[in-house]
Amino acid sequence: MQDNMSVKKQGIFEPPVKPRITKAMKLAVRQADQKDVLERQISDLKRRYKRDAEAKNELLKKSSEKDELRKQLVALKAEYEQAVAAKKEEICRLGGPKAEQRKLLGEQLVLLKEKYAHDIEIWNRVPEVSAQQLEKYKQDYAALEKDVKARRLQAKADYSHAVEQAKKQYHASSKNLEARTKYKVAVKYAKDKRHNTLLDLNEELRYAREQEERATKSDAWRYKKKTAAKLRAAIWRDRNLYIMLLPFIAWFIIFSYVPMYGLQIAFKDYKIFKGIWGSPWATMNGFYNFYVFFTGPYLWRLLRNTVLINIYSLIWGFPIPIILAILLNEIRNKMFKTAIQTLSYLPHFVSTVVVAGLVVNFLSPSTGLINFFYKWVTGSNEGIYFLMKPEYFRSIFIFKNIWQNAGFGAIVYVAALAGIDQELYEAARIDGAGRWKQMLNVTLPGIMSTVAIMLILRIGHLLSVGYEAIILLYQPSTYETADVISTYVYRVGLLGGNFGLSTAIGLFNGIVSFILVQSANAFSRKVSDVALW
Amino acid sequence: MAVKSLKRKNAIKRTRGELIFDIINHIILLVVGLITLYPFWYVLVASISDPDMVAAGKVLFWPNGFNIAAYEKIMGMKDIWTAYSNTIFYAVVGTSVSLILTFLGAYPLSKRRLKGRKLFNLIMLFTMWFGTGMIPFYLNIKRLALDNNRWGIIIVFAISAFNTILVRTYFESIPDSMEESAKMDGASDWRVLLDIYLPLAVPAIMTIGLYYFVGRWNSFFWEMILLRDASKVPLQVLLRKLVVQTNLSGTDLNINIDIATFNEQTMVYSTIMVAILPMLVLYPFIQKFFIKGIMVGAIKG
Repeated sequence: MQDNMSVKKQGIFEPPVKPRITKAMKLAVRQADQKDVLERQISDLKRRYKRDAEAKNELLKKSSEKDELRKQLVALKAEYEQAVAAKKEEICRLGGPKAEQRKLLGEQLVLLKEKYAHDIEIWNRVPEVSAQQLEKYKQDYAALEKDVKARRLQAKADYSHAVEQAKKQYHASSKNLEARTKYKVAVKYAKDKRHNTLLDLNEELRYAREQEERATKSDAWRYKKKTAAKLRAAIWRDRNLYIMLLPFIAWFIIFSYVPMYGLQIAFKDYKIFKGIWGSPWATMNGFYNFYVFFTGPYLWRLLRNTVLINIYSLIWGFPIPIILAILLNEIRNKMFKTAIQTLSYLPHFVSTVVVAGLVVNFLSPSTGLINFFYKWVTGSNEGIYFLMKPEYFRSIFIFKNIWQNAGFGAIVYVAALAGIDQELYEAARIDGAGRWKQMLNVTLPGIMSTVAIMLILRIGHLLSVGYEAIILLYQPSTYETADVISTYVYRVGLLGGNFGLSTAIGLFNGIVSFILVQSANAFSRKVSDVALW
Repeated sequence: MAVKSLKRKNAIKRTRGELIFDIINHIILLVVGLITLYPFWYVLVASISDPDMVAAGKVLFWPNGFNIAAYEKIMGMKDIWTAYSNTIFYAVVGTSVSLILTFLGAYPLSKRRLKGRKLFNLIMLFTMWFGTGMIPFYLNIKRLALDNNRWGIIIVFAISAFNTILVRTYFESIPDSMEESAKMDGASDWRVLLDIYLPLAVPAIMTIGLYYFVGRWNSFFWEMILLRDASKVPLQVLLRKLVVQTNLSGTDLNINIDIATFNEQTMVYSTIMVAILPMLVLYPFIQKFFIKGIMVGAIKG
């Protein structure tokens, strides 16, 4: 318990308090400094005056023009006094402490700072001990608590013992007044003693608990401080990396996150001249644009076309790269295989515009290649204007996508096929499996996980269509089957100028896509242990 | 040895079913190759044939009546050359800017020790999941005065999150000991990136650079919307007018008349040929880099 008291006085668990160097203190020091300068200037003036006056006096002794010199002397003195008075006035105006005081003040400040530096150094030196000390405090507290309990019991026992003793004496003696008084005094004394002891014990216990709490708290504080310091050190160490990252992150913020501020247009009645912020909120609590879209005539058409184009693409476009990859895998002539493969992904690198140009021109009713073949096969004189007829649009679009992307899509599967262990084939062959059996039992299972991932990825993008190609290929007569959400957003917003409605539809599309992509990824992580990011 | 001999024996001994399958397989793939190639072949053949023959459908597989007047006409069109040089500018400068920004971003993101790495990655990834939509994006560009501006096109489309992930994955595959030993010699992070990581990443630079280059070369949508001056548009935007819109309703009348004076079809095919020729010529040499990129992406993409 003595230890506890001494520790309390040392207070090592309190972080040193940074001395408060107030503005007033700094000001005082500055003022004192200025005064110092002024006083030095005064003594300087005095010295100069003395020197000049002495020189004049010297002259006065020798010269004949005494009157003139005396006049000069008087003027000199007046000038000196005036200058000194000015300086003194300035000193008065400054107020605050004098130069000597300033010295003291400054020393005090330095002392304070040094003491703080010293304290904080000691404070920082302790941490390794801290955990042990914390433990010690906890143990001390537990021991003390035990001790206090015992002593409480002791005090109670003491009390009852004293009372017992007094009672005995009381009984033993005659029933006179003196004895009674003695007894009462003894009992009161015992009671007081017990009371005081208990109070003391409580006080001691309270203090010990406080000490322990403080130790715990300061430990947490110290821990926090240490981690913060470590973080700062790590950031400083990698400062060059952060500088490299700066333009990159800035780009994303400026071009991907700042536009999110413009999303509020979806809830506004956007006026070009009032800007994003100044435009009034739309009616229906801001949901007018959504109301227009969800009750408008095109909602069903847009959703149907978007989903159907995707589903048809999935049905036709998804298996073809897999089949292509498997067929390529079965070819043994390496030259032939490479040639076909290289050729198959050539269209992927041709621009959308050129491919759309090919489609438009090949399908032209009068001079299109496809119509030449059509006329040749059917013998009719009239070609079909395929791009004018809604019933052909989806097929054309999906065929175009397959032609353009199937070869490129096959690369992933070719890679997966190359990764299949060749020994599996040998084992199958030894078991008597033919090529067909090998394909079914080795090849297909070998690429199944890749297929699953690609499929999930595709489903995640159910609402995104390559709208650039649609914009190039569709026309009003085929909107019925060709118009998807993205193209409508483009037409309504960028061509039609209805920014509010367009943003609202875009926002709807973005949110649904976000949910789809996230679900697809979560699903993929669950099923295949392969997260896509 | 036993296995090897078995294998050889099996290779020689093919059942009749397998033989038929092989033949059919070769035929199917040959057809696939022809379907891929034929459109290009037809465009080439039609562009150098007699326009009347092409219009009458008498050119299908072989040139008929050699005539390169269309090419001569295209060579004389100032618009095409302006657009061509614009495209080269966008592709070359844009690719350089893209590469610098992407590699500067991907390198720190590949360092596991970087504090806040997760947040920065999320900032990048989130843009792949959620698009703000055309209008807010467009208004943002307009407010920054980057529309109808060459440098706007360069900067606004500078970074692709997907490509950055590819580069990041590539950097992550380089062992940390490389960096540590250089750091011991007192190299800064900049030195480490420039002198150690970039030389090791040359294949990645080639692949990603080609991705960016082809992307720039082929993109037309935002260029079409953002660039109003004819002197600034790239080739693809002009091609849209010359090649796609002439045959669709709602065409640009001026262009239409211009081309109608000549024979439309030959003109269109020659234009396509001029536009894709650089790609066709370079394709055999550069295609292997694309495939490498896909493989890198296959690890995590």
